[in-house]
Amino acid sequence: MTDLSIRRDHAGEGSDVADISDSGVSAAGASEANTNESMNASEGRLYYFLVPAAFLLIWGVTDVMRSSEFSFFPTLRGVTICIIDWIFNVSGGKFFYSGMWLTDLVHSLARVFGGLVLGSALAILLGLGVLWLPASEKLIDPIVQILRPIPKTAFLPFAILLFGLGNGPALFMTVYGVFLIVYVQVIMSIKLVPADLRRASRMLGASQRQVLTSVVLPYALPGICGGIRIGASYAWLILILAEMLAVREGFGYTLWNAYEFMRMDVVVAAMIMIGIFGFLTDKLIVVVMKRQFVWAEEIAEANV
Amino acid sequence: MTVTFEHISKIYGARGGSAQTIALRNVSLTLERGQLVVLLGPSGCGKTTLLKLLGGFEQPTSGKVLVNGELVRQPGPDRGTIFQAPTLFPWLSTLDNVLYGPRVRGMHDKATIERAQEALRTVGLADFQKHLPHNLSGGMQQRVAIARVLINDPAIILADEPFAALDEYTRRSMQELFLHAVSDRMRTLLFVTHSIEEAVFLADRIVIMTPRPGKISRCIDVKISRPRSRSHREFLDAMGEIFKIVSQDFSAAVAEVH
Repeated sequence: MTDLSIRRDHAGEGSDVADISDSGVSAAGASEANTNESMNASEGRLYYFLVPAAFLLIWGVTDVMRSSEFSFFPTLRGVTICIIDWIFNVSGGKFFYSGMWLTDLVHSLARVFGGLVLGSALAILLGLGVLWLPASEKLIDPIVQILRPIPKTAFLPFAILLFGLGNGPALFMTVYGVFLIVYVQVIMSIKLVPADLRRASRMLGASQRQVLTSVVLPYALPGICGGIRIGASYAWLILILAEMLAVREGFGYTLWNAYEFMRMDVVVAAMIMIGIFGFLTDKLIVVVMKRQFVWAEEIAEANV
Repeated sequence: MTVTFEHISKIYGARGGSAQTIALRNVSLTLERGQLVVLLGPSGCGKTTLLKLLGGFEQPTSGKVLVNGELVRQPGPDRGTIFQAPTLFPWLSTLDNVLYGPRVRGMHDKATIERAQEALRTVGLADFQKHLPHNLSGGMQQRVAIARVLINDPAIILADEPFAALDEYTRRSMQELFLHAVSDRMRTLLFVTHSIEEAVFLADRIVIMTPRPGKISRCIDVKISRPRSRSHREFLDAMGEIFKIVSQDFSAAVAEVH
């Protein structure tokens, strides 16, 4: 009964060996469990890099055995040189992309996170509004359900006409895409809040509004963040397309511009960057979630 | 506080629809101030419905629920409820769960925190203030649920089979803890159970209910002196008497069906 050590931090995957026991009881059992965990974690990390490393290896080997039909597919060496020039401008500004990497990165990140934050905030506000006035769900739902199957990118022509070339359409598109995905998840998460939890809140003295802010929102937040995670991957997808057509900096712009110069090595370099930063965005959200929602993590783990 | 149920009927589902269920039909009951009333009956007899009506979580189809002559319209901290499941807020520590009630009513001072710690001490959880609910056992969680109601000092406490999910040993100690923690200050208590033993152990008055449609079959005052011993002759006799009534109700219900 006294063995109630809380594991506070799962996010660091084994690196935080000491950070385990809150109540200080049962140290022996806890450290044993932790050793196993950190072993699994380092093993897991090895697996993590295995497939990408093998891919790079095979790619590098094929560099020297190209036949002419596949000449449009860039070599590992070529792409590596592109990336270095893109970041460090070793060519001295010889190409349109030389030394532009940081500018591209900052613009793409700003648009992704701008869209993510605005779209999510909008979705959460509207979701809570629906909870406040249940009848409004019936008003909003048909629109959302009709818009959902229409590819989010199909709005790009209208976005450009509406906002002109520049950040406007790119931001509009990401906000719209994120909003639609997160909104659906918000409604679902809110509906999963147990009725008795809301009753408990009321009988302890909470007003209707306090039930929303102090019970419904905190309970639904892990689910909502799951939606934000999906939203983030869509934000990258939509953003890259919007950047191809509407702006003059960013990973998407570099990718499309490179295609127009038939520089497939730069295209692949841009694809790799999008992949890496899309992956890092997701990791960031997961880490924040694991830190913020220790309770939900642990309940989920206990139910496995 | 005096609680009065006046000619309560509660029908679920659309009126006249095929899925209509009569949960309660014309039920009247009075709870005197300071009385511990146990609603006893099988599932479907409407005992939980009666409790939800007093809690203000639902409204009767017809009839009135009155507390000191005032109509119950919504839930409130004057009627603390202990649910069947602990229903704690899973992201709040034990202490913050207990503090939830005072905090939503704007009490953030140090004295309130001390009162919360005192409430946790009363239920034997003084050393578990910082634990999250899921790191506590079921019985401990239910004790937090009791403490969280106690800190609001409600005049009425409602309990809906709060110990049904616990094992026999834990249940018995919880019943004693519940009596100790809750039955002073002339609180009125409404406790729902399907366990005859639990009813006899806790009740000043047992209200036996029968299902389809839910109604009150009989009220029995339990006059055994406290603290009650489960192995005592009087206790076993009372259990036997109630068992007899419940069996009669049951065979009558079976005869009705055939």
